[in-house]
Amino acid sequence: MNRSFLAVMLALAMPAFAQREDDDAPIPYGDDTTVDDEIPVKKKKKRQAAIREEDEEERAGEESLASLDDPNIGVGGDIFMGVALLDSSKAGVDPRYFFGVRFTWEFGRLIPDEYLREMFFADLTWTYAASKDGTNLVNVDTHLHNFTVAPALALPFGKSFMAAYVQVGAGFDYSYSVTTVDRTAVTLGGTKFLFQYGIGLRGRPAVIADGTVRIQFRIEVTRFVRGYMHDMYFGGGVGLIF
Amino acid sequence: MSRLRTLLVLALMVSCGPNPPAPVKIMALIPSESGTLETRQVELTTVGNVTTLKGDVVEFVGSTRVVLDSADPLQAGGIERLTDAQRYDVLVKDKGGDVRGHYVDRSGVLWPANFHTWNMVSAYYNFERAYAYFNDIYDGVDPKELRPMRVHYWADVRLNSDISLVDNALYLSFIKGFTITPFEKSQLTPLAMNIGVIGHETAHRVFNFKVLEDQGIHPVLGTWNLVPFNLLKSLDEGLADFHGFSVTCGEAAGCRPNFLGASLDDSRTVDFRNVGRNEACMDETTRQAFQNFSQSQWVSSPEMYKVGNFIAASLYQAGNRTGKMEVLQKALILAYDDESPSNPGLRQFIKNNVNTQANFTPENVVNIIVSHVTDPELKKELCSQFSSRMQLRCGNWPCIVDGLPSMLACPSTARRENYCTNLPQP
Repeated sequence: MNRSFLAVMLALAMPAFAQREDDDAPIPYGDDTTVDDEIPVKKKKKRQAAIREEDEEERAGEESLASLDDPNIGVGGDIFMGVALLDSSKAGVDPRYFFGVRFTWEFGRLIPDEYLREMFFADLTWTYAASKDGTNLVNVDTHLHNFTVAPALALPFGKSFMAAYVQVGAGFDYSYSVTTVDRTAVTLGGTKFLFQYGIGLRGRPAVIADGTVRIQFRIEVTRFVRGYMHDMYFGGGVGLIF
Repeated sequence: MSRLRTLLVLALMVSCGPNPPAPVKIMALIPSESGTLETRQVELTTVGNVTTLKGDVVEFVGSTRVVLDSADPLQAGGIERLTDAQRYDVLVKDKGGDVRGHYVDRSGVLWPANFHTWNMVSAYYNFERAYAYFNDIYDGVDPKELRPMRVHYWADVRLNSDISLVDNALYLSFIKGFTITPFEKSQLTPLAMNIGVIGHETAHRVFNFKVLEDQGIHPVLGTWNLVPFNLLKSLDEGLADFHGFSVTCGEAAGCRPNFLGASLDDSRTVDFRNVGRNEACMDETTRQAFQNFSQSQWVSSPEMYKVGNFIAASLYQAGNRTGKMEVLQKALILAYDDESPSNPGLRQFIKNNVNTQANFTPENVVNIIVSHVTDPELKKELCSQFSSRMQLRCGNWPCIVDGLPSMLACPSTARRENYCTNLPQP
C-alpha cells in the first residue's frame, strides 16, 4: 500500500522535474555575467519571476482567445414536434401530436471560461397542441398554446458536439376552446401560469468547417405544469445555430 | 423567509384547482326548448370540489375498468357471495383516478374549457337534479341511498365479453355505481348530458335499493325465469323510463317523454321507448316473447324494453289524464317498499315469493302499485291503463283469475279501454 502510494507520488512529481529541466534549458547566459549573476540564489529567483510573468501573459492570452476566437455568436432556432400526453380531465392522459418553434440564445458565451461558456443556454418557446372531442352535435375544439422562457444547464460529453441538459422555465398557457352545440359556436379563451422542467440531449455538429454555422438537434422530455394540469411532452427538434 | 413563503404560495397555486364553496356558479349544457342543448349558467349546490367533481351527492371517478368475467378465478365462486367491498375490489380492475375539471373563470362563473369538463359538469348537474326529484317524491324520507352516487366516468366496462361497452350509461348494481362509457357511434346529445337518461339511471339505483334490498345481485335474478323474471326486468326498465321522463319536467325546457330521442339515432328504439306513446300496447309477438323467453334472451331483446314501455306509458297516461302526476310519483315510491302487512310493497312481495315465483304476475304487480295510490280517480285510470296496455287478465272489476279474486285495489269503475286491440286471453 505504502509502496503504491509512493509510486503514484513519484509519477506525479516527474513532470514537475521535467518542467524544471525544460525551464532551465532555453535561458541563455551572456558573456558579460556580473558577480551578482553568479550568485545561484539570486539568479534562480530572477528566473522564476520571469517564468511567472510569461505564464501569466500566456494565460491572459488564452482567456481572450477563448471568447475572441469563438466562431459562434450563440443564437439560433429550431422547430420541433412529438407526442404530448396531455393531462386529461377524464383522468389519465390524452396523447396528442404537438409542434412548436423556439429561439435559442447560448448566453453561456458571455462567460470567458472555455468550459463554462458551453454549459448555458436559454429557450424562448412556443408550443402548440390541440384536441377535439365530442359528438357531431356537441363537440369542443381545444387549442393549447404554451409560451415559455427556459434557461438550461448543459453538460457536454467531453469534446464531442453532444451534451445532456436539464431545463427549468416558466411562462403562460393560452387555452382557446370552441364549443359547438348544434352548429352554434361559443368561444372561450384564458391564460394560466405555466411551469416547465425537463431533460434532453442536444447536438451541435458544425455544418461548415470554421464552425460558424452549426446544426442543432434535440431529443427531449418536458413536463409542463399548466395550472393544476400536468402534461408530458416527448419530442425532438432540429434547427440551426450561429 | 418572505421569498420562501412567496414560492410556497406560488407552488400551491400551481398545484391546486379552483375550489370555491357551494353553490358554485358554472356553465353547463342544458336541454333547450328547441329539443337540443344550450349553454346555460347553473349552480352546483352540493359540490365539495369542483375540480375533482366530488360532493355530498355525486362523486366522479375517472377512467376505471370494470370487468365482469365468469372465467376470472376471483369471480369463479359467484360474485353474489362477496361483500360489497370485495365485489368492488374484484370487479373494478382499474380503480381509476380523480377527474380534473379544466375551467376558465369569467367574472366568478366557471366555464368548462374542454369537452370532458362540459360533459362531466352537465352530468353532475343532471345527477343533482335527479337527486332533487327523488328527494321530493320520497316525501319526507331521507334518500340516503343516493348519497353519494359514484359515477365511473369514461369507464372501460366489459360484461362477460372481450368487447368494451360503448355509447352507454348504466347503473351497475354489483358495484353500486354508475358508468358513463366512451363514444363510438353516438353523434347526438351525449348520454351524460341527457337529464332524462341520468334520471333513468338514478331510478335504477332507487329500484335496486328499495325493491331489490340493495343487493348486488338479488337471489330471484338467479332463480326466477320466464314471466316472473321477465316482468321484474321490464318493471325496472319501465319505472326507470317513467322517472327519467319525470326528472326532465324539472327543467325550463319542459317535460320530455321522448327524452331518448335526443341521444339515440336508432329511431325504432327511440319510438318504442317513448313514455308518451299512446300506441304502447301489448301485441301477440311481444306477449309470446314475454311468456317464453329465457333470462338471457329477454335481457338482450328489445321486447324487455317494450314491456317496460307499456308500464311507463300506463303511468304517464294515467298521471297526465288525471293531472295528478306528483301524487302518482310519490305513490310509486311508497309501492316500492312498504312494511305494512296488509299492504306490502314490491320489496316485501318479492321477498315473500322468492320460492313461489308464479305469484309474481303482472296483475299482482299492478295491484301493489294501485293499492298505494289513495286518489280514487287515479286508481281507476291506472287500472284501466295497465289492463289495456298490458292485456291483463282483468278487464273489468271485480275480477276473478283462476277462481280467485284478483286486483282487489282496482275500483269497479275501471275497465279495459279500446285504445289497444284486445288479445285473446290464454
